[in-house]
Amino acid sequence: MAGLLICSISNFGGEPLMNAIENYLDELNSLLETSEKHKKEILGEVRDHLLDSTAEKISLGISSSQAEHEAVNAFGSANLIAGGFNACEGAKATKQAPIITLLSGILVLATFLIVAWSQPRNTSSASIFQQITFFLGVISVQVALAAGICGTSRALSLWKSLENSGKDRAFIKRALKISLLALQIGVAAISVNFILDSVHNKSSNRTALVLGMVVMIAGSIAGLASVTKLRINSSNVIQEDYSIHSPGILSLGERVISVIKRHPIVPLLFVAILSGLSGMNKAETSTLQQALPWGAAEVMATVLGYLLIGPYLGLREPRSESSAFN
Amino acid sequence: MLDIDWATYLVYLSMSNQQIKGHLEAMVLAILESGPAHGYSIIESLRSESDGLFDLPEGTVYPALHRLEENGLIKSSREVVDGRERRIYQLVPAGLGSLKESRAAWQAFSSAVSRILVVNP
Repeated sequence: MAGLLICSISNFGGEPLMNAIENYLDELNSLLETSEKHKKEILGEVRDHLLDSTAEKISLGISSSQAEHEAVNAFGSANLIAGGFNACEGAKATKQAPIITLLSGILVLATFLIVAWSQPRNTSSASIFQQITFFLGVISVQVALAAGICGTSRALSLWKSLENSGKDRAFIKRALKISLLALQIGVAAISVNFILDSVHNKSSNRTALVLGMVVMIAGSIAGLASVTKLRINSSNVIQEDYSIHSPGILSLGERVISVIKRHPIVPLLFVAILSGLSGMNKAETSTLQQALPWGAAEVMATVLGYLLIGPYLGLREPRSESSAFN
Repeated sequence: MLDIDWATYLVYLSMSNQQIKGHLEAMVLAILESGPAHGYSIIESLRSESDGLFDLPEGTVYPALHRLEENGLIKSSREVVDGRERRIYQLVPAGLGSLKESRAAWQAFSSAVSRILVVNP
């Protein structure tokens, strides 16, 4: 009450309080992170409410300027209300992000398989550069897959939820951007591998190689650009910061990841050995002896990836963070 | 007037605004069950039906309404009310289903709390 009195006194002879609603709407407009069409709808609705509230207070005998000020105060701070709307927009975007990532991944994988199938079989051993680029490509795609799964499982756990926190939205955006970035690196490495293959293999289908490269590069760049542009709104200005996770099968991925986080040794060993064997199988070498280093490199890369990127993907507990499922 | 027993009233009193916010969507659905309404009348109903107990910032109802609409539990339309065009919200069948689930969950929760908190004479 004292604050209101001071406010009204200080405005006698100065800027009138009749602008209280418009000032509030201007502030709200600057804080909203939604589409222009949605922003216009929100501001129209808020204006209607404030006018109704002001009219009611005037009918109780309060002066019009004071009624307007009280209506704005009762509505809630612009930060709080904008945060609520931005969280709503963010929730929508967290459903779109995994779909975009999945489509990008499918496009790249399908293109790679088509190009690989269109190439005549190369019976000679690949050069060391071809082996390196192929190794880099495979590692990058594995990171893309792991990050994509982590981001998507979190998004799925919030799919039917009416509330999700800024922290969860930030995690989803981060995981999927890591996935798409890794996919781009993988595409670049595979593209170099294609170029080296076309140089060494005279009978290779160069048209398919070039077209494949263009489609993969475009697909991965488009995916990353689209996810980056989404209004996931991870800056949650509301003080309470919690999510209500969907029950049942939608949260299954998160529960599995939670178990992995608590008991990482066995899953990590399993994935590392599988990667190692897969690396040896995919290594374009003539003998097992030549393939072994690639297998070992895959194992090391898997363990290193877990140690370095694991905390960002919620697979490894950093010192301060904790998951909703712990 | 909200007809509640003392045990439930004690639960309400102990709830922070954060906890109330977690039930806001269900309460909005319950208010819309009586018929279509615009945002201002919804917040007025929340206040009057709770005898002033739920005193959230009025604006917090609008993100809740948008969330509910986004999830297909309510729908909105523009209508002229008292000479001014307003956005009116109404419950849809999916929202009614969600409301029934919320009611059942709340009944189970409040019964369990009552059994623990209320001391029988």
